[in-house]
Amino acid sequence: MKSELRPDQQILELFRNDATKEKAFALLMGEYQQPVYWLIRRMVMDHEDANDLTQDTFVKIWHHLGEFREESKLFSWIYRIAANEALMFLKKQKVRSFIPFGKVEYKLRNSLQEDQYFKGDEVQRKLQQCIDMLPPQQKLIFTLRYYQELKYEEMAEILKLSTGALKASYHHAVKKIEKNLLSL
Amino acid sequence: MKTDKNHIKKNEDAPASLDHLKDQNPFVVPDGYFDTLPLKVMNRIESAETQQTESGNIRRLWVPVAAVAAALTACVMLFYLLIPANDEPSRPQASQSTSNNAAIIEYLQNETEVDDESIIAVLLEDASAEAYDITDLPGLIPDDSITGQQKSSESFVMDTTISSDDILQYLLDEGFEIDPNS
Repeated sequence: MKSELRPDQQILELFRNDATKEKAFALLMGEYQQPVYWLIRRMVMDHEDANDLTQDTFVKIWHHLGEFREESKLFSWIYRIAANEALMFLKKQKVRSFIPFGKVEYKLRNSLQEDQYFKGDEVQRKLQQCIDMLPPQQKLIFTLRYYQELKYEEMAEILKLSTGALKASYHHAVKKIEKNLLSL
Repeated sequence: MKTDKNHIKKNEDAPASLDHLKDQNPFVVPDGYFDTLPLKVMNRIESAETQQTESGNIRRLWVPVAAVAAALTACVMLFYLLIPANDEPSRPQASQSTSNNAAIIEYLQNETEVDDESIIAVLLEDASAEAYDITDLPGLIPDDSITGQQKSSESFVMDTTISSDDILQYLLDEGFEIDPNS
């Protein structure tokens, strides 16, 4: 009796066959499009940016899934690609914008207020402002832990950092956010 | 849109507690966004693959074309090297000079018993009398005016400012213990 494949293994087997490659990719997108999108959206805030980066992520997955060596879990590999896309975008944005640091909060507050895809109240707006002030990698660690509720071991596999470093970074991020929420 | 007034009050009166805020998602997406996302991604993949095929075809033609262009460029450069330096492009003078030399060589070969080495020595003496600075030749070095002013190379300085948050993150990445209260 053939044992049932886990969904990830099923996807990989189907993907390796040209005849079923697109079916495999549809299954993969069904499974991961929302987690990937929301990870990226939490990082970049804007829906249009998140949409572009999410598509970029899945295009990369299509091109490189055939080379995936299963040394890690599929979801770790996918999250790593998504996280890299978001981090690269944020770093480019920081270089391009040349906004003095004090004015960054003002810009985000206004852009969230005008954003038709942001429906949060004032508290949520302040929280997003505080999160947006974190350095990109710390913001990523905070997002994975706080919103995606990943275990530190899972985050370590994605980010190739020690669990100790992740815990310290997350703890530091929480303290910063709490402090900034009070001052806003 | 739901607003939880208890959450607002808690955050105003007490040190911020984030635990309850994470259950709220203030971000929304356009209607049907996730239904159409797979199709958009596949369309992008297919159009990229089509473009790749077309550019592959162009690349196959490009190599011989580039070879011909390189050969022609080399010929033009050689041509300019041979003509004497003048204020204006002197293609007629260059050809006259070359044909003079050719005529000299032919005469010397046919009408005298002078050997090739002597001919070459004479021609070299002739050439050194018209010595020119290679930087004066138009077309060899990019210039943006007919006066031959050379373009100065652009330079830029990369801003490599490192913030204290970057330093902290680096220390955390390298495994140093950080006292969160410091």
